[in-house]
Amino acid sequence: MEKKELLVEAKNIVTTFPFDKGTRTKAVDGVSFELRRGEIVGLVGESGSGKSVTSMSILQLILPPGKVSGEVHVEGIEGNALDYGPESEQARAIRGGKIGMIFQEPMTSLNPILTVGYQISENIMTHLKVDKAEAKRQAIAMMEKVGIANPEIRYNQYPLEFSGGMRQRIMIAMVLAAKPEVLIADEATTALDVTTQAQILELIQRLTKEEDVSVIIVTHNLGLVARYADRIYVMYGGNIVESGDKYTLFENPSHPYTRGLLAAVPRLDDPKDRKLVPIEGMPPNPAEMPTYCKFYARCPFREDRCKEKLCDLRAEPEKDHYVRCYLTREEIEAKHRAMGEQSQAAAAKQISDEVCLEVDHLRMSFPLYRGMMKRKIGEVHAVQDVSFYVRTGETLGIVGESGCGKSTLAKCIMRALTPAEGKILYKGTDIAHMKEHDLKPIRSKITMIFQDPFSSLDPRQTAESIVGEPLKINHLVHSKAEYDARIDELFSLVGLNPAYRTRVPREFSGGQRQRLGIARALASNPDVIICDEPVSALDVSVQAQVINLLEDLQAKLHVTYLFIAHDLSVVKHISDRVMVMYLGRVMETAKAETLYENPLHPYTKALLSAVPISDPKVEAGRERIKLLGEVPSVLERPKGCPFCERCQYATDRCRAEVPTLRDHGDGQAVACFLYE
Amino acid sequence: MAKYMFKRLGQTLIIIVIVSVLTFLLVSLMPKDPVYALYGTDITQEEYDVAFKQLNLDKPIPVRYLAWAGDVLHGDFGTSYRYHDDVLAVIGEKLGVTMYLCFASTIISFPIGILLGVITAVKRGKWQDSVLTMFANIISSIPSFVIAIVMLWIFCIKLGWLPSSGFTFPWDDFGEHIREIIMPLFCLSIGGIASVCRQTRSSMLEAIRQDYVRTARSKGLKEGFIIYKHVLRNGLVPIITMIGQRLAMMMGMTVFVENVFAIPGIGSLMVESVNNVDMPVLQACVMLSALIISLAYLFTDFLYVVVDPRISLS
Repeated sequence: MEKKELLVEAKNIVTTFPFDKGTRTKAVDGVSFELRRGEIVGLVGESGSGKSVTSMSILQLILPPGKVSGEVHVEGIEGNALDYGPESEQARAIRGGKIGMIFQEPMTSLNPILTVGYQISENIMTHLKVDKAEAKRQAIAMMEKVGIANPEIRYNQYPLEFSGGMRQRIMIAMVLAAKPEVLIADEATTALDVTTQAQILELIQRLTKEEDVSVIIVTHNLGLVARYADRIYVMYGGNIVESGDKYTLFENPSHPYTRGLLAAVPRLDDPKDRKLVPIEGMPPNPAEMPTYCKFYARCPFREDRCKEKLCDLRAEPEKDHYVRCYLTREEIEAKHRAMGEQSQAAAAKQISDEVCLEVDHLRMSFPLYRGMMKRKIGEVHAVQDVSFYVRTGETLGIVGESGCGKSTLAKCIMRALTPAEGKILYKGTDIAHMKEHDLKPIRSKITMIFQDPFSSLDPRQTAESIVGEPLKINHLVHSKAEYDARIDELFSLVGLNPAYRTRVPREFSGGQRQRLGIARALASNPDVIICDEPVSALDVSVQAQVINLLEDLQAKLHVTYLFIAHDLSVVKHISDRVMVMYLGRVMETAKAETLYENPLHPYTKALLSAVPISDPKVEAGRERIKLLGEVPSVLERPKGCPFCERCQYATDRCRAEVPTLRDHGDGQAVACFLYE
Repeated sequence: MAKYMFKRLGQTLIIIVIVSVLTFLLVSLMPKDPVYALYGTDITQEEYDVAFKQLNLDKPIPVRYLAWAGDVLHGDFGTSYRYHDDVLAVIGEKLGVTMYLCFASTIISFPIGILLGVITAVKRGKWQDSVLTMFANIISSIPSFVIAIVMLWIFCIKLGWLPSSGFTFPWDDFGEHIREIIMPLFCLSIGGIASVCRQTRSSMLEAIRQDYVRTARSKGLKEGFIIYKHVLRNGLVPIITMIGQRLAMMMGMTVFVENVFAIPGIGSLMVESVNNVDMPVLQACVMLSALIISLAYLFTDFLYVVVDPRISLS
C-alpha cells in the first residue's frame, strides 16, 4: 500500500514548563509523529502522559511561561511552523484553518455570552474570508450536518440552551465549518454519557470521511482507539513508548507499559473470573521525571541497562511498529513466564442465600419551584418504582447514564434522603421511613465510598481521623489502644502504610486517597457498602488496583456491594448481577455474564454496543446499535416506556403504557413489551 | 427579559418603601426638638404646644409616617425648618450639582479604570502591571477626604493654581467650571479608578483562563480580538455590578468632598441639615439619594441582562 500524503509531521517536540526556581519540567519530551491524509490516529495515555500538551504544542496553544521546541511541518506551510511564533499569520492560519481542535469540556469550551451561531461564523469568517451573510449560511448548513434540528432558530441561541452532547456537536460544526484538513479531538467525548459518546464519535467518523479530514484522537480510553483509530501512539511520561497499526499494537503489545495497560483494563468480553493485573505504583511526578525510561520504577521487567539512558524508538518486526524499550518481545515473554502466572482467578467469594438489602417499589421525587413566591409547579420523579434485592456477599452493579436516578437511589438507601414511597428492607427491617433516632445503629452498617477522592475528603483532616471518625461516632472502640490497633488494621487492610496516619489528603495520590475512602467506609464493620463511581476519577492503571482491592475485601470480609457506575466494563467486571436503569426506572436486571451475552432490553443492547472494547478484532465484528436522540431531561419523561422515544422497536403501546419488570428466567428480568 | 425587569422593578419599589420607613424612623429619633429647631428656643409654652400639634408631633410615629409618606407621594416633602421654604426648592439645584459630580465621576472612572485594568491583565507579571497594581492598591487604601486636603494644600495654598471652593455649571462658565471641578472630581474618581482597575484585572485574568478562550485561540483568532470579544465581555460582567455600588459609595463620598471644597450640593446640605435638625430636608435628601441609588442598581441589572444572556435565560 502506497503511503498517503503527509499532512502533519511533528519532530522531536519538547514542551517545558517552569518548575520551582530556575528548573523546568518537561511535559513533552521529544515526541515525533506523523499524520497522513485520511488517517485516524490515536494518541493514548493517562493523565500527565503529555498527550494533550503534545496536541496543544502543535497548534502553539501553549502559553508562556510554557515553551515549545522542535519541528512541526504542516502541509501547505513553508518550513517549521514553530519558527513563525504563536501570533504569526501562518500559525493562525494553521489554528482553526488547517487544524481544528475539539476540547474535552463541552460545558465550558464555548463562550457562554456569545450565540453559538456567532461562534461558528467567527471561525468561517476568519479562515474562509467570506462575508457575514455567507458565513451564516454556511454555519447553518454545518449545524444541520452535525444533526441539530431547526438550525436557523438555534443559530441565535446561547450555549446554555444546549445539552452537553449538543454542545459538542456545535463544537464539531464550528471546527469543520472552516474546512480544516486535520481535526484533533482532545478527550472530546470523555465528559459525555456512553451512548452520547458513541453518537458523537460516529458523527466525527462519518463527517471527517465525507469532508476528507484526517483525525487525531487524544484519549485515555483504549477501547475508543481500538474502535475508531487506524494507527496508535502510546504515550507515557512525555515520551511515545510505542506506536503502530492498531491491530499490531493490540495483538503484539511490545512495551511493558502497553502490555500492563491492556492487562489492567477490564473489558466487556472478559471471562467472569478474570483478575485484573494492576500496574504497581503511580505515574511519575513531573518534579522527579527521570532522564531514563519513565516507566522504569513501575516496570516488572526492568533491568540495569534501562536506567542508563532513555532507549530510542526501535522497529519491531511488524510493519511500522516501533517501541521504546531495550527488551525484545521475546525477552519480556520469557521474563513474564519466569515470574509465574500472575493473572490467577479472582479470590473466591461466598454469596449466601440471605437477602441483605431489599428495595421494594421505591419512589423518590423532588418538587420543582418557580417564581418569586417559589410556587410548586411540578415534581421531578428521580426514582420511579424501583425494586431489587442484594444477597449478603454479593455485588449488585447499577448502571445508567446521567439522570437515570442511580445517585438518588443511593442517597435514599443511605437515608440521606427520605423516599416518597416504598420500602427499603435492611435484613428484614424497613428503614425507608425510620426515625433518625432508630436509624442510628443501622447507619454504621450501610456506608458509602464516593466518586471523587479529591473533594470527598476534608483537606485539613489527617488520614487517621478520616478513618477513625466512624469508630468514635459509633462508639466502636473503648480505649486509645483499641482505637490505634483498629486504625492500623484498617490501613493495612486497604494497603496503606499505617505510618502515613498523620498525613493529610493532599499528601496522598488519587489511588491512595480512594483507599482512605474505602478504609473510612470499612471502619464501622458495615454489611453493605454503596460504591458510587469509586474508580471513575482514577487513571486506568490505578483503577485496577482499587478494583482488585474491593474484590479482595469482599472475599475477606463478606461485605455486600452496591456498585454504581456508568462504565459498563468496570461494572460487569466486578458485579455478580447488574441492574440497568434509565430515567428513574429499572429496564433490566441479569447476571453479569448473561447481560453481556444475552441482553434483552433494547436500551441494554444499545448501551452495550456503545461501549468500545479494547480489542480492534472484536470491535470489527461487533454490531453497532444506533440510538435516536439523546437522554431526555427527567422533566420531559415520555408517558409510556421511558425509552420509547429512542427505541427503534417502539410501538403505540410503548408510548402509552409503562412496561413492568417481568421475570425471564435464570435471574433475568426485563421491562419491555417485546418479551411478554 | 421583560418579566425579569418587571420583577426587579417590583423589588426596587419594596426597597424604596423600606428605606422610607427607616429614614423616617431614624430622623424622628434624633435627640433634638424640632419645635425649637423651627421656631427657636424663645417661645412660650402655648406657642410651643400649638407648633407641636401643627407638626403632628403628638401623633404616634406610624400615623406621622403615613401622613408624611402620603405627602411625599404627591411630591410634597414639607417645609424646611431652617429656610422656611418648600423642601424641594431648597434641594433643587443642590441635587443637580451632586448628581453632576457623581455622574461625571462615574463616566470618568469606569472607562479609565477598565482601560488600566485591561492593561494590567494583558501585561500581567510585566512592569506595567506591577506599577499600576501598586498605585491602585495604595490609592484604594487612602480615604478620599485625605486626598482632598492634600490637594487643597498643594494646588490651592502652595501653588495657588486652583480655587479652593465653589461650583459653577459648565454651561454658565466653562473655564471656571473646569478650574473648580478638577480637584473634587479627582478626589471622587481616583478611588473608583483604582478599584475598577483592580476588579477588571482580576475578572479579566479569571476570564482569560477559561476554556472558551482556549477554544477562541484554537480558531486562530488574533490575540487582540480574543481579548476584546471573548475575554473583555465576560470580564466586564462583574464590573457592571460595580456601577451601582460606586454610585452609592459616591453619594456617601460627596458628603466629605462637598464639605471640603465647599460645593453647594446635597452632601453639604445633609451635613447642614443634621446640624440644624432640619428634618424634612434631611428626610428628603436621604429619600432622593436612596431613589437615585436604587435606580442605578436597576440600571445595572438591566445592563447585566444585556451583557450576559445567562441571567434572563435561567
